[in-house]
Amino acid sequence: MSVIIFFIQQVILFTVPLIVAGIGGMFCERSGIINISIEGNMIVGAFCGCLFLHFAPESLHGQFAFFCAMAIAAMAGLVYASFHALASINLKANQVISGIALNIAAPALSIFLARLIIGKQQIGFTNSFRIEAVPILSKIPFLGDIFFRNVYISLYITIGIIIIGGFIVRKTRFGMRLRACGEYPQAADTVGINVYKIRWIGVLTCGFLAGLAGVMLVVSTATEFNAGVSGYGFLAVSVLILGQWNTRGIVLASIFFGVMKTLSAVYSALPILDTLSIDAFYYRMLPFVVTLVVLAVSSKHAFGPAAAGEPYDKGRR
Amino acid sequence: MDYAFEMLNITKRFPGIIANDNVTLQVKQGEIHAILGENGAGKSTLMCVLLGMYQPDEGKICIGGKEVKIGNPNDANKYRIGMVHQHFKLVHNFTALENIVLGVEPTKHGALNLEKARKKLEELIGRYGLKADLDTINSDMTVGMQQRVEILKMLYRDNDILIFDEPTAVLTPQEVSELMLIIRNLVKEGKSIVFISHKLGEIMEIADRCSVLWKGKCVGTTNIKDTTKEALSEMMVGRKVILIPEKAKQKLGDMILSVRSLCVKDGRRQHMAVNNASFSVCAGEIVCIAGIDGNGQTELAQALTGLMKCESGEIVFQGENWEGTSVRYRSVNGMAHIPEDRHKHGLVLDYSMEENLVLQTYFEPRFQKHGIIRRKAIKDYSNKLLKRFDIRSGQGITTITRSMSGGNQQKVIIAREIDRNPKLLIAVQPTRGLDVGAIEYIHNQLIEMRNQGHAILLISLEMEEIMNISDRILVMYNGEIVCNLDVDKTTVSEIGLYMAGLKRSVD
Amino acid sequence: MEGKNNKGHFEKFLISPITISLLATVISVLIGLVLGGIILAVCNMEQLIPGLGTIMTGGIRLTGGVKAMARFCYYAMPLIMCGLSLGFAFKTGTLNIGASGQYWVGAFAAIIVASAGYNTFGSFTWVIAVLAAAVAGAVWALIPGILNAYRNVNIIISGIMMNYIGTYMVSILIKNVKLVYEADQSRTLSIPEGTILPKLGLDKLLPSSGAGANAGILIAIALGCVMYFIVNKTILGYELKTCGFNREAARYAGISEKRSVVLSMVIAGALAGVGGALVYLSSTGNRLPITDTVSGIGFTGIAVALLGMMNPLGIILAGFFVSYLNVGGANLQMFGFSSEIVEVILAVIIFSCAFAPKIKDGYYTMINKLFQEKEVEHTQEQIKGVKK
Repeated sequence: MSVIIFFIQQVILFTVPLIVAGIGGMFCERSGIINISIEGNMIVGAFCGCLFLHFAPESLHGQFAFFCAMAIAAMAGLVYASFHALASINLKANQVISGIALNIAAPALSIFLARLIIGKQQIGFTNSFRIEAVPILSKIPFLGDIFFRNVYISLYITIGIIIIGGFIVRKTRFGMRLRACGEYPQAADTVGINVYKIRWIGVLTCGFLAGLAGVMLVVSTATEFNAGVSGYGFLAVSVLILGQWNTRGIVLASIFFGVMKTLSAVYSALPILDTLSIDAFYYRMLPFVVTLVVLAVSSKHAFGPAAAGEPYDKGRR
Repeated sequence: MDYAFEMLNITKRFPGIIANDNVTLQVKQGEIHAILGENGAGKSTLMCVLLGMYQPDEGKICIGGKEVKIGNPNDANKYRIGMVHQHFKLVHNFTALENIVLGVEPTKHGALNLEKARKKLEELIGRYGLKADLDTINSDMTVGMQQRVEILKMLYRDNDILIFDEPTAVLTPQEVSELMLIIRNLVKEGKSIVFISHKLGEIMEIADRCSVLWKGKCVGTTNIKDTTKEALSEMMVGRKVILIPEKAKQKLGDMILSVRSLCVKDGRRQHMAVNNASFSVCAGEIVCIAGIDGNGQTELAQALTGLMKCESGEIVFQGENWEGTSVRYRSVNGMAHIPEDRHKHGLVLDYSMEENLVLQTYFEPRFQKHGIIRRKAIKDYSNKLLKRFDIRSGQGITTITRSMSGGNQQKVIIAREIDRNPKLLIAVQPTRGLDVGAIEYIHNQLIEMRNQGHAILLISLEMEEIMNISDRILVMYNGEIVCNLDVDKTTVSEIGLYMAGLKRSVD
Repeated sequence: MEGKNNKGHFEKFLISPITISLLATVISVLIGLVLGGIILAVCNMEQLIPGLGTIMTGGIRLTGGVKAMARFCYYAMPLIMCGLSLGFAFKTGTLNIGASGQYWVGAFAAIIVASAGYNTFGSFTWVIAVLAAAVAGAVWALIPGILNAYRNVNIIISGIMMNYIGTYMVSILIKNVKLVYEADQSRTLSIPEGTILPKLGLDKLLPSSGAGANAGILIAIALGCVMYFIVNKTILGYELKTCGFNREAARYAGISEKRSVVLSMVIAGALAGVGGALVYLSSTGNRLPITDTVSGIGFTGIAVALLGMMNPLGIILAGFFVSYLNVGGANLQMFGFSSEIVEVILAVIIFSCAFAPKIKDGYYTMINKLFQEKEVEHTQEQIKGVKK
């Protein structure tokens, strides 16, 4: 039983950043901008957040420090995403190429600046943010063990993001306009909606959430940041597609990937799998292979926001 | 004299073109004012200026005698100006209700509150007789209902000045009458209407006054009572044009194409777009398929050329059953195709003219040897076609097609398809969006081909074109061929009845 | 109207696509260098000039010229091959983001053949190895190609997936194929001396320690020329380009888009695979490591393809150029900068190239406006004449 609980806890650790990044991607692509630089955004966010933690004075209290780091990471991601927004929206650039450029620049900048500031490329920090047990709530059988033991506050923040994010897109005025911009921006423009502004908000939101996801990921799974998030950003894009661009789908797809990814990392701790002595790399391959298979099966009828990828040009009639 | 609005001396320039050149338009309170003009005359641009989507380079707009600045559609809305566009601005997966309130969504405590809008809309629907189902997704609606949704959009925003841009282009004659009634109702309630069209019949029927635009300039404004269709037509085209090409009676040759009980499914929606169609085309005749856009003509053309699969039925070409054959096979064996959408299907815009001229023939031995392109052969061929068809361009055959005008781009396609000497030429709306000179030229080419014994299947939406160059007319309605008429034994009104589904003659 | 078709030579030059592309590319490079310079300046103002200098002179001055040139031929090989791969894919309408994975499996295939085949093929082993790499890369690209053509799977995502799957799979294979496994170093063993690429006297011309100039660079250049020929002079190239520019028109012309996508990917994959072979057959010291990090060469190849304006001949030059920047950048440590700045510069160049097409359109429009205004005037003359 404890093995299962342990497994679920690990899944949560991996899934939480994925959900946040996926929802960020949803805001961006729903507005009509393709964003494959979520990986780069996560790296930038993680870099800034971890740098902050590296230099944070001892006096800065545990969770509050983490909270500040998350805020800084999110802002950093937002700023980094503004390049993509500028290129895609105002300069009408090829969105895929812009995303690739930002993905290349992020780890390079991270290494470069880390070497400059602290002399080496790995940014270490003390990880004192794991909550052993939330008082009272952790006593609940089973659920208490999963949600209130050995967790980070990122879990609770993420639940909030899921609820708020879904609400915004489906039930608010902004959400409706966002979707209109992604499906048929000419219609939105005709009724006086500023398509550029809405898309900017979409992209910046994505940067904000991706940066947040970056620091969440690194803090909950390591004690140093080494200029990469091991392909998470690309997994987030697949989660977005698999989840059909809506909150519920993204959460489900993320859990699926979280389970797969966890298997690849902790299989040796699970007695059953250890005896099979499958090479570690098979487990690492598994999430990617499964993504491919699932996409192969489901992509035939998956269509995203109709106008995604097309720069909006007011001049065209 | 009370004007609803005035546009005075408006000039609007785009790179390489003056879309509106010192245009003055004054619309009276409570009148139906028509704007007449061909494609490219500047009608849509002028309205976009009025709506705040473009800013004029010169000139001003006055409402109630005072100059106003309309910087964006919200400003236009403030002045109660609204427009039903030619291509509806409706989000395909929103409901009617969502589409109507987009941009002015009612909210309650930060969340959408669409029910508030519903009440107002139901009242409007009742008052003006605009039948529309508020909860239907846009992509499931008929064109007529979509248009009513667009009208409701304006009424919901309390617009008083309503602009209709080519509103009848996609309606059945029945729906057109309904629209005319709706417009008259709107005027009774005090609205002022601007009615943009190139259809003289409708303008004569409904408008009070008419302004004519030609190549960016305003050529004149007249009372409908004081003018005639011919006078307006002449103002519209700017010169006397002989529209009816000379055509001798032709002896028919062999049957080239025979279509029997053809059924084709709609690409998207799983309903039968072509429903049991049967007809034939012989050498030496021009057969035209008439009908309102959306009755299956597109799917029929695509099925005949191999771009789309048939559900059932036969396509027999010169005695050979062509079921299952590829596009290439049909193209090589005597079928040529001038497609509906020249940018989408007919041309590769980033190619040069010569590369586009061999799009259907590049693999023939005269243009390649062992897989290597014969540049010189292609060059000579292209120059020959350029001369013969008088294709105008910036740099001759090496011009990038994207930079050519629409008419000349179409000439490239026509040159290519005609020069292949096909047994059957399928031409789908070959003169869409072209000016009168180009239209005349293309009609002459088609008649020339017919006189030389080729078979032509023309699919067209323009009544004048249909009447002028066809030998036989088939009308498509709801995917079915509902009649088969000789052109000199029928009239426009009779065809109109068939097009509206009000008449059938099965044969 | 005859006069219109006889443009002056200067006007023709202004409009020619090559001029415009070249202009856009040069501007992108300048933007990249300027931005890189700014970052370097902010970090360490004093060392800015020497730092920028070494990047721009490719380190030739520092390392005594010839050695740097040898390195720069060597580094150019994978860049040119990946650039060709991506450039060809772009031109034919697909996006081969999976080039890194194809490169890696190609390298592995080459190493296996070299190690296992030396006894059989002797001094021709390297040829078989390169061919094996091409096949491996082609197969690796076939999968995303088929998935995209027949199952509508987004080709970018599947490319990224294949990168990771390829890297991991090679790691697994290295461990399990005893022939090539050097367990305590987690990498492949040296390939036999006789299987490395022939030097063809280039090592005398440009001596270096370790891997330097060899037949590989000549193969890369030759393949560039072959690709140029295929793209511009053959029907295969015409068909694939048609598909790339306008899929619908390709269907109308009877070209099978499915076949085209798959064929494009296969060729692109083969090119990337060969890139891997050329690098890992250059020296017995080149070992393929067991890793879970995807090689960045595929993405750098994008920079090369963009700089080369998607033209195979341009890509050859661009490959040399990027290699030049990298070699110069490697020396930056001497000035207290880390060499990653070159990657940043490249990223900025890619970024600038992203909106180059729009700049080009604007330029075209501007030029055409000059010519079209003449046409508008002419027509208005005609009208006035008729009205009278």
